[in-house]
Amino acid sequence: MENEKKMITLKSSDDVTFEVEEAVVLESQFLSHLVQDCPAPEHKIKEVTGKILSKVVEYCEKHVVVVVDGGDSSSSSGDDLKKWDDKFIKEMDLSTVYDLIAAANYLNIQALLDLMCQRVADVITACKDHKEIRETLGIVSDYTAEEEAEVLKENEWAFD
Amino acid sequence: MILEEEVETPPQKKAKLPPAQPPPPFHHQPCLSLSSLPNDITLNCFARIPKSYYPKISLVSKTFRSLLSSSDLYAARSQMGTTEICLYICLQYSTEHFTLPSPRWFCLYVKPKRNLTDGRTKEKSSGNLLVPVPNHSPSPPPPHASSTVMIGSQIYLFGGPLDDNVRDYSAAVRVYECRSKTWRNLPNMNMERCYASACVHDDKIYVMGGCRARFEHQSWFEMFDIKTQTWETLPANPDQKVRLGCKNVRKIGVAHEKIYVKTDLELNDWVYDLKERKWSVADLELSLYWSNSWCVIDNVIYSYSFSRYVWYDLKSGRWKNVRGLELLRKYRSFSGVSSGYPNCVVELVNYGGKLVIVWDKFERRGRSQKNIWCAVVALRRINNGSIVWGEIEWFDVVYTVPKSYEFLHSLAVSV
Repeated sequence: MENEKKMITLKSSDDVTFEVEEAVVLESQFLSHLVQDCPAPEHKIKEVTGKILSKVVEYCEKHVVVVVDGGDSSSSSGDDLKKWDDKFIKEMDLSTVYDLIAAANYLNIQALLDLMCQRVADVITACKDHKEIRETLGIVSDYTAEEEAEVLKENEWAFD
Repeated sequence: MILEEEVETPPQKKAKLPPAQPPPPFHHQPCLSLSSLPNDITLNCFARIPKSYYPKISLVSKTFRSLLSSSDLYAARSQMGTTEICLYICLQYSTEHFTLPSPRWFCLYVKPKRNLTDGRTKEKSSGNLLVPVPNHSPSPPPPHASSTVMIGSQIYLFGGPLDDNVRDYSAAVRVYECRSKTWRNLPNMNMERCYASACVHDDKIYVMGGCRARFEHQSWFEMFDIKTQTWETLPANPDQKVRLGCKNVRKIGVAHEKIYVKTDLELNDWVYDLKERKWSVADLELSLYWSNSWCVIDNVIYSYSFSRYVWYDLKSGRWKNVRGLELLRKYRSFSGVSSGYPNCVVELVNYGGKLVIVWDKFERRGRSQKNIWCAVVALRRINNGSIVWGEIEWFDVVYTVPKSYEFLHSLAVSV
């Protein structure tokens, strides 16, 4: 059967290797093209560090789509997966989130990208004001003091 | 909840990387700021956040501010299914003496929900406001008095008047996309109209009136098929008196495959059966409480009549009170006892399945200003649908205007 577990090795930029099933790799559009085009057993992903790649692999292994007989595809039951996702992002600091976003974007793993973006969105909504958003997300304001005062005035109604 | 974790972010792990190598576009180096990620990622994050947070976010940086006003953001929201209903209201008034009143668009700003642990009651301020349409928001078109139909984030305008205060007939159909703030044209109607009435059902737009049609074969009533982009003339209303007055049809709406046609005072109201393509005079009972303040939500007609909020039960052919709205009576407009009274503004709007009531009321003493009130009501049908229960989510004064103001429009658009 074609479904026999074919293993593929991924190597991070800092030479950490991960041996994963092909199905796991297919979660990434980028990697599935890479695997198709170049049937080598090992693929170096220069753009992703070992720390981040381990997270990516962890996520993809959990989310790998199981193809059942009828051709229907189903992953782990929705609720469980959701719980797992919640735990997965809760344990992560924002800097890892950014790195994972970049990696998911590069490797083209939409679901992971969406999950991470949701995390950033949640962080933003939890902030009290714009200053806290800057601090938390590490953003340097490019407003001059006058400009900021102007925008503040324009949006005055939105604040207490 | 997660804020403390950021502080102990250990970037040292990555410091092992060979320093000589220049950093590639994607991250050998820890990416410590959201601003180092591509804009479409930031948009992906923003599209997940309720719009009520946008004023705060626009203050973070110029980049954020410009991203918030891009139409890409609203495209992303639509793709992600995070569109929100936005209530636009157009009021006309002058701010200073001896200046001409001008129309202004406002949008209802609903504050982000905070934990109301202080036991605030509804009677205190909710903080919800009408605000001039913000820069970063999709905006409605310049106000005209012509007929409109909302489909998603698009506003369809049928016929004239084409410009403010110019009363002219036109067959033109224009569509305004609120997200990109752009106009496009649709094929003309068969008839030139001014102050027509329109409604939408099942990918078809129905437009009637706003013209004088002496003969039944004239295109007094027509339908636009959105799929085929063509107009088709439908049977005109059999009553010549209805057809001859340009503004005789006040408002139309669809419920259960029928178009309900509210006409001017001394005329019969009508119902048009979409399946059978037939006209019939509305039941007496229906006309009795059917005021000009009405709307259809989920196939139910709601109306504000004789200081009561009522709904029409098609099964029993009777108007019934919407339960649970008694509290609002205390705050009702006193400018008129029955609706249809020229000075009384009560607007009912379908706000994404909820009922929004907008009304005005004199401020307590001075009587030189009026408060605009707004209530958002979630609707529930219980007892096999024989009772409609309205749950007031909030109600409050959302704006104050000079008493001579004019209420021009209210539109609920999904953006």
